[in-house]
Amino acid sequence: MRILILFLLLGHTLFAQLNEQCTINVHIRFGQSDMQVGDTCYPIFQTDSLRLEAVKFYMAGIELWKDNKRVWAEPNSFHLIDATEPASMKIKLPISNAIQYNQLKFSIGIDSATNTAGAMGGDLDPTKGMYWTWQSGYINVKMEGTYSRSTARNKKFQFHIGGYKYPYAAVQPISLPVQSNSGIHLALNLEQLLERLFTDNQFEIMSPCQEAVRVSQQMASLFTLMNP
Amino acid sequence: MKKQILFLLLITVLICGFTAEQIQLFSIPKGWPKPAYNMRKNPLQAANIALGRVLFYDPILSANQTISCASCHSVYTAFTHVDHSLSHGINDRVGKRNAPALMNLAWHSSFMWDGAINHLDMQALAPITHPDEMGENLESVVSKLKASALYPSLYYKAYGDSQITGQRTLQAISQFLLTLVSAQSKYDSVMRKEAIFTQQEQNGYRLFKQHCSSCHTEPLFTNLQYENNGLPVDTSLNDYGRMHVTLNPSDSLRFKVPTLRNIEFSYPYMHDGRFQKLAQVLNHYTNGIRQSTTSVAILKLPIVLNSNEKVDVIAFLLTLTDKHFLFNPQYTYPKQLLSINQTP
Repeated sequence: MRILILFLLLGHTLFAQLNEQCTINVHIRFGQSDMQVGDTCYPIFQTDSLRLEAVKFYMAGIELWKDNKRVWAEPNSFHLIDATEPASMKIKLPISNAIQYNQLKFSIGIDSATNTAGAMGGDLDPTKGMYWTWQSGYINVKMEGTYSRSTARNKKFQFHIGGYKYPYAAVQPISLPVQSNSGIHLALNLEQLLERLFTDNQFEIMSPCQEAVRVSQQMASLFTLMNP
Repeated sequence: MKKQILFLLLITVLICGFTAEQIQLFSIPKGWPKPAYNMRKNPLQAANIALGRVLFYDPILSANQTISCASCHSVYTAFTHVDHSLSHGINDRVGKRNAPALMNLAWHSSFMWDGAINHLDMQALAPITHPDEMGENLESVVSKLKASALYPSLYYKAYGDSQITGQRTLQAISQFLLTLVSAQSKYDSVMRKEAIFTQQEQNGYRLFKQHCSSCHTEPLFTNLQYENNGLPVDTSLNDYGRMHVTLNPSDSLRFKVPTLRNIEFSYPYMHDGRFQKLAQVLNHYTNGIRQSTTSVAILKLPIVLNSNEKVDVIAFLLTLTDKHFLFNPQYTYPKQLLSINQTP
C-alpha cells in the first residue's frame, strides 16, 4: 500500500515536471503597442485619446487539436483574464511533451450550461465582479475607461458584454493555428473594436442585447497569434 | 470474513443515517413533482442550513448593517413584507415591486416577478446589490464575514474549513431557502384524505379549478410561468414585467404567477401590491381585466362569479394557510445572532 502511494506521488512529481510545457501568454494590444490599464493615454483617430480602467474577460474551454482531432482538453477550463493581474495573463497548460497539436481552440465567455448551474467557485465566483446581479448571467467581457470625446458621464466608456440565451448569446468560439511545444502568444488588439464603437457613438453597453452580440463577434475576430 | 461483514454493516449504517438526515432536512411531499433544484451539487446538511439561516437574518449583508433578507421576508407572513405594497430597503428607499412570499422554492427554476434570476443560488445577489434594497456587493459581504467573530466557525462547521467565498455564501442561503416547504395546509390534509372541506370550501375549490387553476396549478398553486393577468399599467411605475428581461414585446406585462399558498397572510397582492384584500383580487378577475395582445388565454372570456361564489372561492383559498409553515421554529431568528447581541 505504502509503495503504491509512494509510486503515485512519484508519478505525480514526474508528471508535474513534464507539465507546463505550454503557456498561453495573453497580450492586450492597441495598434502597435502593448496596452496597459492605468494612466497611459493612447491616441485614437489621430486627434483623440483614450485611457483604460479595466479589461477583463473569460477564456473558457481551452482545447488543443491536431489535424481536426481533439488531442487535449483542459478540465473545468475557466480563466478570468484581468489586465491588471499579470499572473492571470499566463495560462499554463499541463500537457506532456508527447502531445502534438496544431490548433488552439477556446471561447470568449461562459457557456449557457455554466450560466444556469447556480453558484460556482474559483474564477467563476460571483465575487470576481463578472456576474450581473439584477439579471442572472456572467459578464463575459468588461472594458472600461475614458475617451476624450465620449458623450457619457465623465467621458467614460463602459462595455459589459455578456448574454447566454438566444437571440443574445454572446459567447464566441475561437480557433487559431499554433505550433507544438512552443509558448503561445495570444494578442487581442482593441484598436479596431474601440474605433468602431466610438464611431457608432457607443459608450455604454451594460446588458445582453444585439449590440453586445456584435461586440463579442468583432472581438473574437481580433485575436491573433504574435511573436513575442 | 468478519471484517467484511463489519465493513458492510458500517456502510449500511452510514447509508441509513445519511438517508434519515436527508428525509428530515428536505422531503418531497407525496404527489409533488421533482424539485428543479439540483441538490446533488449542493447537498443539504444541517450545518449549512443553519449557516444559511443566520445569513438570512443578518443585516451584515447590507451596506450599513441595517437590512437583512428577513426585513422584507418575514416568516410570520409567509416570508413577504406584510402591509407594504412596495418594500423599502436601505435608507428607507422604496423599490418598485412587492416582495414575493418565499416557499417551495426548490420547485422553481427562475425567480423574481420577471424571471430575471435563473437559479436559486443567484437570487440573493439581486437584493444584496440593489441600491434600493441592501446596497452592498458580494465581495464586500465576503470580507465582512471573514472579519466577523461569528462566521469563520459557522463556515468551518458547514464546509470543513473556514474559507469564506461567494459561492459558499450563496449556496448556504439556498440551503436555508430550500427548507421552506409549505405542504401542511388544510387543503393538503383534505387531499391526503385526513380532513374534509366544508360545503363552502368544496364549492370554492370547484370554482377555483374551473377559473383559476390553469395558472395557479396544484399542488404548487403556480404553473411557474409568466402571464399577463390583465392588470392595467400603473403609470407611476411603468413596469412591463418580463419584457424588460427578454426584450421581447410578446412578454410585455407578463409577471410570474405567484403561489396562492398562505395567501391569507401574504397580502398585499400583485407584483406592485395594489390589492389589500382577496375580495379586490377576485373583483379584478371578474370586472377589471384589461385585455391586450399578451393577456393569458383563459382571461379572454369574462369570468362570471356572483358574490356568494366569490365568498366560496375565498373560503377555499383560506384552506391554503399552513400554520406549520408560518410558525415553524426552524425558520425563525437564529440563536447564533442573539449570542453576538445583534438586533434583528
